[in-house]
Amino acid sequence: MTTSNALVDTLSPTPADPSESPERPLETRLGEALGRIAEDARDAAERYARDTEVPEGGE
Amino acid sequence: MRRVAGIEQEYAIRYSPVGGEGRPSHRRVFLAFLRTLSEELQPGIVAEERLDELEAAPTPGMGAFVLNGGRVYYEALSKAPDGGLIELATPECRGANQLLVYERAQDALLRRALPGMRRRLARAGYPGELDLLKNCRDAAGHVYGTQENVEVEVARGPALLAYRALAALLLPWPIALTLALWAILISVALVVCGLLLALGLVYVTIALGLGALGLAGVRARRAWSLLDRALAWPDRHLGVTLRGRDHRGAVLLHRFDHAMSYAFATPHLVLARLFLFGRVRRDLGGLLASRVVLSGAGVRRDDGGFGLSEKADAIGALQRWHLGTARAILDPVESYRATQGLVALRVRQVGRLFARRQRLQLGCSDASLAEVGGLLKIGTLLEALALSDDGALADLPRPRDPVAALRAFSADPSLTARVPMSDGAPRTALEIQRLYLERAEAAGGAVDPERLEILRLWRESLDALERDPRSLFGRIDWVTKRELIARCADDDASATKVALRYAELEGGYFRALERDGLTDRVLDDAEIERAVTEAPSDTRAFARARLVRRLAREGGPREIGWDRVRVGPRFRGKVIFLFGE
Repeated sequence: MTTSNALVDTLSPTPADPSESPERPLETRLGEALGRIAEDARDAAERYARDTEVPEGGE
Repeated sequence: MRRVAGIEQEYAIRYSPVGGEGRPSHRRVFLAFLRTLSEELQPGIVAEERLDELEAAPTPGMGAFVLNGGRVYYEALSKAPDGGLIELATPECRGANQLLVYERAQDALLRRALPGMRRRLARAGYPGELDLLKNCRDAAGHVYGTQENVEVEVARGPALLAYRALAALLLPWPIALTLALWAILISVALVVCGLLLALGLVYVTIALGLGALGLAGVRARRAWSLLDRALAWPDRHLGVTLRGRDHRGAVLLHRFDHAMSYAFATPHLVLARLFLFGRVRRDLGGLLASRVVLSGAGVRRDDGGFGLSEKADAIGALQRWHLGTARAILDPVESYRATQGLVALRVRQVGRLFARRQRLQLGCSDASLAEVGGLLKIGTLLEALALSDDGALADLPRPRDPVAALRAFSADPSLTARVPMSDGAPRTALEIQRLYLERAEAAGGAVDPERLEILRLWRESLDALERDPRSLFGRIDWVTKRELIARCADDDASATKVALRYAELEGGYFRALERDGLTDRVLDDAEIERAVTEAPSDTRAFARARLVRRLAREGGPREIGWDRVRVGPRFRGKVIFLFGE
């Protein structure tokens, strides 16, 4: 199972196919990664936008 | 032989103060990068005395060529010299895979420089968090980012002849304008210098006279003080210093240069719009408008909705026809770079204005983090250019208005929006992509494993986008970013942060997914590693990179460019021309 399939499974209401159990760690890792990102995204989000602003644009 | 192509990427800077300190100027951050590069990662790449000069008086466009033949530089508008971006340009590459490798090598070089940059900034009183973003739009809506460069045949037959004749007739215009403006500038400078000299002599005479009469050293000092104030007047009121090195003088000259460029270039850009790139506009407008479904970086729009491309809303024209144009899908850069060469008496640069094959820059490109999307961005472009050269796209239906189509497709993550086409049958972005893919698959030609792989990925990706775009998580940036926002953001602020931090080089969300093996790779880390310090072997970048390496080892004055290298002092050094593409 690919990463993208793992994501579809985690988003889908359909339970994962038990025959794919060897691939479960991928889903687990994806879930953990999304959890970490969600936690970080809540932290000082407004300040982050200011910290990354390009004052006058480039190019 | 594969087509020559390159990518320029501007990286935004993220600095988060940890205490009460302010933020370093972006110029300071760039100089920390340049010093880290030259003192740690690629020793001697910039001469030590040059680094000291730049720190004392940073100049717009400062930078250096690096060991792989690419270039790093500071990109800033003259009106905001402290708010620029760090720009890296790949060396000249052949083919999509090689170009993607070198684009990733740029990211790797910057990532490796970050610890050294942080140390240097901390020593200067800025101990905060630093990272770089590979994106094209900030939260305030400023657009910057990526440009693809490709060599294309500009025109054929009567159109090319007419263009060359008219371009030749226009050549005296920049020369006449330059001579007139310099004559005015020199006259003004002579008058100002004469007045200052006279003023100085008067005060010196008075001071010496007073001193001789024993009336006071105090008054003599007063006279010197007045002279000093007179010399400082242009600094205070014009931004030009006469008493030392200051960047404001350079900025003024930069502005002057920009105004001159505008006056020189506009007639040539109009000419290019009338006679050049007609076939590219006809054959590639549809591809470039619909390519966002594969290569869009994903963006949180001003209305809070989600769009496919960070740049699409900023595109205002199909082909740039004057320097003030809003960003264009196609930018004929040689048309204005050559006029700069005319002023600098660089014959080869001017000669490129008349070349049958010229560099074309694409202003509609988003930055790519996902390797599959990045490969498809370049690969589909090169494939369509090859088909166009063979005349295989001449009868392909095309959007009536490619700019409007690009915006419509970007604004529609459901991928169902249809745009009017030349054959009267409105089509979706996916349907337009299919038109190109079918022509590419029908073209046959020599068996090239890289090309076959790109066609396979192209077909699979379009199939997946039709079935369920989420299945392209980790492969296509806009899909990945949209899912992260949907899954990880609670409110507007966190959604914006996800959209932005997705693109951070070191601490970014895409990078985190990549480290965890949750993205699909098409490149090998070893070849990216090699590309950080080695040039492609089959373009002129190879010769440039050898010279860069030798000069870094030997030191001494030098000036390195894309098509020539000067070894030794200005006016007395040996100039080596780099031939080929």
